[in-house]
Amino acid sequence: MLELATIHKSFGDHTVLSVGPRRLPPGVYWLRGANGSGKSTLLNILAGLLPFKGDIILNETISIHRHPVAYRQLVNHAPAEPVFPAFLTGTSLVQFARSIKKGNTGQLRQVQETLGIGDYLANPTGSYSSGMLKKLSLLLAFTGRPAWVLLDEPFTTLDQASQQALTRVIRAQHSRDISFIITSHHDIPPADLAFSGVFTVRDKQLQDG
Amino acid sequence: MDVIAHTLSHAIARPFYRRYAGVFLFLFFLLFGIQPSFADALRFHYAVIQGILQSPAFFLLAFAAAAVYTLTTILFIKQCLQKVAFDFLFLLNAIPPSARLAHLFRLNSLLLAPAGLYGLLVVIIAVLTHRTAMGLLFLAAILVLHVLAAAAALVLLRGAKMNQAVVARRFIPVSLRPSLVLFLLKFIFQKQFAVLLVTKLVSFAGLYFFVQLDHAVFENRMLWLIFITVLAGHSLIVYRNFAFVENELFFYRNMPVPLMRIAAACLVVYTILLLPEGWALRGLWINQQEPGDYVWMVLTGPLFLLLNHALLYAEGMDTGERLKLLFGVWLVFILFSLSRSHWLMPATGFVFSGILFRLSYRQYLQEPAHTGAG
Repeated sequence: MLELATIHKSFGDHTVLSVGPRRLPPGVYWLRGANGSGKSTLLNILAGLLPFKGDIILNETISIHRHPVAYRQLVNHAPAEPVFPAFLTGTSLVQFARSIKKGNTGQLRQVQETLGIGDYLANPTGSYSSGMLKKLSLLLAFTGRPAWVLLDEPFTTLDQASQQALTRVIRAQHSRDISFIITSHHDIPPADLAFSGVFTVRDKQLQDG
Repeated sequence: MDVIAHTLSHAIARPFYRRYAGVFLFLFFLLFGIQPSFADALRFHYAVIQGILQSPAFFLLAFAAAAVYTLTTILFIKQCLQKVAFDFLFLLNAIPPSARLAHLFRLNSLLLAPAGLYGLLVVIIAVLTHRTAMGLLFLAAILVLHVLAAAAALVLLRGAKMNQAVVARRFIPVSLRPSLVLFLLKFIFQKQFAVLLVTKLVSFAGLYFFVQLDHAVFENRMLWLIFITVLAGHSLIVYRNFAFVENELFFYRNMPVPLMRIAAACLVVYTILLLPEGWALRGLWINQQEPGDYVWMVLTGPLFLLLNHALLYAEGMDTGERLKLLFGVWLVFILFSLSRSHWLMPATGFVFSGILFRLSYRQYLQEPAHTGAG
């Protein structure tokens, strides 16, 4: 259960988000919104990447402010347009994430195989295409034992086969009690992913549907 | 070395040393290369360390140098965290704060290794010369800087993506009409703050303390040498301003603005930029009773920077050639400063920057390669 106990975010005097109390039971959620509506900001807040006024409570007990480490162990995030230092290899980044998030290596290898992440991980990320960077970022988001995985525009820049593979990974991970919040401004065919709820960020607020 | 320490070293420490390799080489040359022999270099450092151990003023000076270096490392970490490519480091917030601090302390030990090693050398000399207490005090001071740097990195890391947020800050309490002057000032204070801080600390301290010397020791030509060198040290800010105007304010070229107004805007910006130096030099008038020289210095400063700005419009120059040109201007001004006609310096700056602006500004874009500054 992810409980948003009001979220207020502003940059200087400019308010960008003002979300009222909301409880999200485990599931797969689709977060929609126009460009610049605040989807990524909300996801960054949920991932503990941006400070804000209010609180987010995970599994009734773990507060993002009072238990920042425990919270971040259970919430993973993949950005919309991942970038990494060009001189680091994918392998070193995966090892870095694994040493922090722990978790099962076999499970990670399975994700790697399904997404078709090949030997290129041994190369510096500067040599990757945007699709390869995206897959690396998704792999990092599946590292450890997360309760929630936040995926920002996960299908963008992936080819059709990889999009289907990602859908399979999400379904498989969800069957292992991992919940998802996925943002997209495209329509995802409902047959591919069964959503527990759909929200739209509009007028700085989170609205149903 | 574990994976986290290895990644931090690879992602931050290595790029730090790579970026400042030139500065380290210059400092190494200054500290070890200008002495006639290796034995002389050792004697020089022995004398420096004895100075640190015996004179509180020298101790504070060495501590200030270490503090400026520490500040540089903190600003480098901040610059890294401002880049989206380093977002993966925010994963560190998922480990307990004590472990995080330990990793950051280890990272800072790598970054501050030169200061730490010199601190150890001071302790060794202190023990050998029976001044252990002062040696340990110096080491403790360096350790405090280590801890502060690690704590600063911890705070920056905790800020996560807030490091990248572009917040509209009003750095001047009144509303000013948007103009080239305002854009350039905002660019300097918001985007070049790290360079500005380090440049100003060094230039202000150098000039301020030199003009405080008593009449017997004060050497006017030496002050001019320091002043012109300090002005040359501002060239990075000048180059970035030039690149900013030619790239990010590219539309400005399309505006119906008289050429001399653009030059005047740059002159106003460089005058404001050199206000701290103007204040630091006021001792020249008050203590040294040299009002004439003070006026020539205050006028020379902005015009020297404007001349450097105008020279950047010269065609087909790469970085090496620009540095040679800067060295040439520095040399010419040094030679002028040795003459009695100090008015020659502002006059040269004024006349040549005016001519260069008129000749080169419009021509700069006619070169197909220049869609902006490189």
